[in-house]
Amino acid sequence: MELARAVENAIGTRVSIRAYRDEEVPEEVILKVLEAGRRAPSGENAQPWKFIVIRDRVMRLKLSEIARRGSGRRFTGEFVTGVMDKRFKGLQDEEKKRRIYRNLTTGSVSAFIATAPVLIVVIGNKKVWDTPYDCSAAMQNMLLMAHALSFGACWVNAGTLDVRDELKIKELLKVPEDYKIVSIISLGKPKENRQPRKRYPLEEMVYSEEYGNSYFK
Amino acid sequence: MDKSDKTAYFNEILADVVKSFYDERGLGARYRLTLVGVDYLRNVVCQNGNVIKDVNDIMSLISSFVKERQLAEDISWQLVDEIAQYIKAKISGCLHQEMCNKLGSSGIDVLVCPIVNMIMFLVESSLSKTCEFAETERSERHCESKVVFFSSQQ
Repeated sequence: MELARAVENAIGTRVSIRAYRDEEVPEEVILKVLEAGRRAPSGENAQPWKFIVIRDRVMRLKLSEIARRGSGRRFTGEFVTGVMDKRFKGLQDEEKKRRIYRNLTTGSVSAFIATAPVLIVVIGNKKVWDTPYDCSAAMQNMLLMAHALSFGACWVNAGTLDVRDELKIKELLKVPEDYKIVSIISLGKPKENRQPRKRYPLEEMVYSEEYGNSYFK
Repeated sequence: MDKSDKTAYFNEILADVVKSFYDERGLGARYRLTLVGVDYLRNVVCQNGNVIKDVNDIMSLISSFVKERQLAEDISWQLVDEIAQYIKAKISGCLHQEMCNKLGSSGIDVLVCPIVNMIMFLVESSLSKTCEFAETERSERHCESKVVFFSSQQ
């Protein structure tokens, strides 16, 4: 029961941290986070993941710039087509809306990875059936372990969502053709104290025996 | 099989592939297809030593390229500088119209446009601006696409 409580607590209190203190991440923390990834389930136990640990400041800046441009580009597209207005139509505070728009369309929302002391780039073997799912399981394990160790982490897709950006990162990190870049985890001591974002109620997402038949009567 | 039957076949197959991608990845699929068509352009255009100074040069080059190879009947464009800078490209009589029609009948918006990808490739490689295929409005005979610029210095 103690284990169940600890796991429930870790899952329930984990948040994505995007602001970090200027402190090194101890090696034992990095190793524990990587070990958590290594222990994830995978189809056929293929374990298609590999992890590239980035501490070098110049490399972090380069990855941050790719992420910033990827985000900024996509959000500028949403802004021009009116999608962003629809997304934030409930937001009445115009000044806050302007700040959010600026943060998104400049890509600043994703540039924070330059400030994380450590980035872990998760790559997956393409010659396996279930690479994205397997690597996602690994990543979630890693996020939970970081949180359990009182470190902050964030799953960052901004630099890897578009294949154009993924290929730039592959070239930078010399990732071979047989592997794809799945995503990046930023890791560091949190500088911010955040609450978990709202989730949809369980009642809205669970069905009994078939879709549409609510599990909760 | 005559040429139009072959085109119909290839478009049908392409639509099936794109739909499979969409069924697997949802809206994220469009970001994995942004290089489709680029190698075809690169193998020809980059060998010709074309000099590109601005967006109009790019669009003129794409327009000639696409018409010579009968990938589309016509391309017209505007460079818009309102809330952001973007190209509004109108492509008429595109070879892939049937692919888009089939996807549209499944309720799937245009996820991939090789011609737009070619435009984006030239903008990035020649003008150091990164760009996004923001949206397409489709009709029976043409598509009007917005390619939005994001300056590297932004």
